[in-house]
Order: sequence, then C-alpha cells, then structure tokens
Amino acid sequence: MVSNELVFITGGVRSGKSAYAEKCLINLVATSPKKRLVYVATGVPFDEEMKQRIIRHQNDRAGQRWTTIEQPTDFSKLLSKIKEGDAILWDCVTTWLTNEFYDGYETGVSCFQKEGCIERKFIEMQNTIYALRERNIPIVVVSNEVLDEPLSTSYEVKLYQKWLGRIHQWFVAEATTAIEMEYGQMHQWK
Amino acid sequence: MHVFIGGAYNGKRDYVRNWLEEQGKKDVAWLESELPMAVPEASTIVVSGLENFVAKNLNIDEDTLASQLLQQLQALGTEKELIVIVTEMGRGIVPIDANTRKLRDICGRFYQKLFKISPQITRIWYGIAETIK
Repeated sequence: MVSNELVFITGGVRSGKSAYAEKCLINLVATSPKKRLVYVATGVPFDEEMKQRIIRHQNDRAGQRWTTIEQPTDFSKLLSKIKEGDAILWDCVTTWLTNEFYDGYETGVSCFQKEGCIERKFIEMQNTIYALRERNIPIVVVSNEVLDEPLSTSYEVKLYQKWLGRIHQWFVAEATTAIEMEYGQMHQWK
Repeated sequence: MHVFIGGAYNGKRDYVRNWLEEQGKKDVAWLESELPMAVPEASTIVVSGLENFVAKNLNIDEDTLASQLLQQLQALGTEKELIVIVTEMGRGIVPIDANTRKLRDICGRFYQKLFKISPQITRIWYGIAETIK
C-alpha cells in the first residue's frame, strides 16, 4: 500500500524552494532521526562554474546526514541505490527533463527527436516513484515554474514546456502535499 | 461571466470540461483562439486561447485591442453563460523579442480589464482550482 509522503514543490528562480524542501524532508523524518537523507542530484558538471557550484552544494550538506546520489538520467537506477529507511530529496525535475531531452545528443539524435523516447523516460520515472513509495520512502520533489510566460516560438522549447506541464500535473495529482513558493512565501495548493 | 486563468499546459481546458460535465451542462459551444461573428446557439459559451487572437493583431494599439476584446466578450456574456479561459504569461523574464513583449503587454492589459468586470475568477495550477474572486 502506498502510504508515504510525496511532497511536490515548485517556484521561480531563487524563490527559496530548495531551502524549504530540505527543511521539509527533515521534518518528514523528525520521528526517525537515524534515517539517511538522500539528495538526488541532477546537475551535470559541464563547465568549471558548474563543478564549483556542485562542490559548494555538497559542502553545504557535508557533515550532516546528507548523502548525494548523482542521477542525471536513467531514473530507475535509483532503485538499487536507495536503502530501506532512506528519505529522498530530488532537486530538480526541470534539470532531469533537460538531461533526458538531450540524452543521445553525442550520437547525433537526441531523445526528444525520437518517437516515444520522452514518453518512455516519463513512464520509467513514474514507475520509480511508485516503487519507492511502496517501499515507504518519503520523497520531496523540487521543480521550477516556467509556464507563466509566453510559450517559446522554438519547437524544441515548446515541446519541453508541454512535457514539463504534463509532468507537473502528474506530480500534483499524485502528491500528498503540493506547494508553490513565491519569494519565500509558501502557497499550499494541496 | 467566469474567468479561468493559469500558466500554459496547466490543465485549464480539461478542468473546465470536467467542471461543466459535473454540472450536467452539455449544450456548450467551444471557441478556440477566436471571437464569434454571431452569437452561437449553445446556452454556454467557452472562449479560450485569446492570446493567439491577440498575437495575430499586434498592429492594433494596446488599449484599443484590449477594449475591443472586452466589449465583445461583455456582449456575449449578457446573452449567454460565458466562460473565458486565459493563459498567464506575465510572470517570466522580459522577452527579448519585441512582438512577444507586446503580446505580453496587451494580454496583461486585457486581463486586468477582464478581471475587473468578471464576477468570478478561478486560478488553475496543474489541475487544482483556487477562487480568486
């Protein structure tokens, strides 16, 4: 039976959503202080600034109960890395979707250009979330609000926006709690 | 008149469709990206995607276009139950393209006028509704 919390948090850039999400996960496991807090990172260190950014984030969490798992793509691989009693913070959906969109780029064809490819990635991600929840792993998911502006005129970006909207709608429907952050102000929709 | 607002791909049309079904309303005319030349037969009218209509008329002055749209909707609303679905687009980075900026400005002006006259406004966030007015 699915009984565990799935918290979905979105917000604009620098809206305070990551800090809120970290606090949220810590509160979720407050009754079991020995739980390992797993930060599922999606960032790919493609340049020096990004490398430094990731190191800084890791240092911020160092010495605490946090463990980082790098999972830019292939979400189902997470299942073998998560131990019983873990709690997950996944930050963030937008970067993951970007990684999956351009998966295969080096071969000349990106995933978004292949029939049914993103659909498969989405289903893989959904099934992973279902499986984790069946194992009673609390999950906090962070994403970005990028749909409150005119749609892009580029086919690629528009397709990305369409998928992101669909994924967000799924998360909001599945979530036990759904929150929108607006510059530190939290709005609980569910 | 009842206005529904939300970002792109937030499930606004699906929400309104289910909402009308729940109320047993079947006599509905859906107008996508246009305003009717004549008043449709149906008892309920849903107008959506007006930002596409605005995008095609960017040569018209901001206030004039916003007022024209408002007048036509008001006229429809006096005869029928009118539902207007509009897309939020003023909460991102200022677009680099001048026409996109103009689109955002006209829609913003139009939405302000629409919110003023509509007795009911609902925001849709990924399928969840919240009453604004």
